[in-house]
Amino acid sequence: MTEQTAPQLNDTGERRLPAAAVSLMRLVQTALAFIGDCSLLFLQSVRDFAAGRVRLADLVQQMALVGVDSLGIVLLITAATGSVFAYYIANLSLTVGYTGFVGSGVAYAFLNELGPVLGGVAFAARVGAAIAAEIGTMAVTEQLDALRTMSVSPVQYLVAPRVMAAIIMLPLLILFADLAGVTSGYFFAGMMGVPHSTYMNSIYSFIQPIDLTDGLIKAVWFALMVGLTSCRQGIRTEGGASGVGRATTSSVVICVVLIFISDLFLTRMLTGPHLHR
Amino acid sequence: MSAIVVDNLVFEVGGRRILDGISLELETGQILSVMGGSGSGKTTLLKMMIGLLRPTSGRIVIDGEDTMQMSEKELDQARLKMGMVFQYAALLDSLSVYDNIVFGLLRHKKMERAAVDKLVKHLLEQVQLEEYVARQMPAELSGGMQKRVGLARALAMQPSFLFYDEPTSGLDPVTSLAIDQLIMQTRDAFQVTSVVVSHQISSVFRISDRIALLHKGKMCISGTPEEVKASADPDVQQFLQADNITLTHLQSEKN
Repeated sequence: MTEQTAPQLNDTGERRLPAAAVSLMRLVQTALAFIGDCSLLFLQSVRDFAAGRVRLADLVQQMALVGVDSLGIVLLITAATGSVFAYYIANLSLTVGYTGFVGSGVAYAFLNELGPVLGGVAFAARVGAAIAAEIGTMAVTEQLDALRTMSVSPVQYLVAPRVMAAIIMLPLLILFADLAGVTSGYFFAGMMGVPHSTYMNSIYSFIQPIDLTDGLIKAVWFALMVGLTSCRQGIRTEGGASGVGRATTSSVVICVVLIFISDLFLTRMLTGPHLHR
Repeated sequence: MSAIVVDNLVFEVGGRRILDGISLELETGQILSVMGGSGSGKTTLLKMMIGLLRPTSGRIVIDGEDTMQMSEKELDQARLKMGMVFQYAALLDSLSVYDNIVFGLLRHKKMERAAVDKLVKHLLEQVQLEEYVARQMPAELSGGMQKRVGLARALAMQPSFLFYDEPTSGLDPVTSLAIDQLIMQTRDAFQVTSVVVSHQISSVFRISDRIALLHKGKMCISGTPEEVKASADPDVQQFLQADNITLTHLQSEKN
């Protein structure tokens, strides 16, 4: 269709431009539809919570699934990264002969950035994929229609508890992630020859509570995005098993992209006022 | 007053007309079967009647209320009087049969545990399933059993209207007959007005008070089984004779 409407002038430039414009328009259209859907899901979820229509049992069940299921992978990723990160910083510090920044460097990076971002990505891969696959399967097997015929809103029953469970559980997971990263860094830095007391004193001297709260604010935002994106991709699933596969993959990809892009803005917004401590 | 009135219904998607000027009427306690080949718009019509899809134009009046004029909230309220049995049952696969049957009911009504147990037992009996099935998960059931559980789930809400989407497709003849009998028993016991979407001619003529035949989104005929049989419309006759033609063709090929 695009080729028919595009001006047939020559083989370069003019013919490719309309196709690119059409692709861009489609991309913008898809992005707007995505933002619109997620906003609607968010507003409906807030309304359902405010009206007390979301059952506590549904929320608790989701919190258990969301939190417990992803704890292992989050701890594994952050502990491994903490060890490697501490190894490099300790190596550099020992080279210049000053190890007073190893503990604070690891803790500062983990509380502000590595904990929330690595935890968020692991959460998107583990929980976001599971949510998109589950709701996507329900969509293609008419289970969402079945809910509607019983006058049960899929947003109230499926989306609201999952999004809220993500918002509650991801910051808790990030606390464990921070702890795992800093603790593994403590041991690795020690193995490299950085005294434990130096490592800890460095943390006490330079790290402030706001480093932790900034990271937790990021975690809440990432949780909201993972929850809404995966539910949206699930609800919009079409086309049987292959459709569920596409929804799951796209959910993870979108979540990871959104985490990294929004992290850029959040970092500037949150740390801007107190960057020079 | 008719229980269900469908008036000049049109449904378009992406410029393609799926349903074109469909009109129907159904009295309380009757069974209407909507027949038609694959892609004729039968399931779309059914989903519009229960409010899962909104038509492009036309009217659907259920129990005297025009569903086109209703908000989502009002439609949710209206759906409490309706039940639907899906083609592949559409049971919630994370819940047991017990929880599936009472899921909708307990979302709208508070009940004592003992009363719920009694109701589940009664509903399973009604759809001719053993009591132990209540403890099983949907994935552990056969297709026929899943459809029966789907019917039990719909009946739990004590609906005035029941919509069946291909209730006997993919089932063996004996199970199909049992499901047909269940549909008729449900009508007789509760005066439920039913709409059945099917392309199984024998089943349709067994259970229906009225029959409508769709072809490429248009209504070929709507009337009693006798009127449909007697129709001279070539599309109607072609559809009705398709079973015999296929059988004759297979026999001649075998010979």
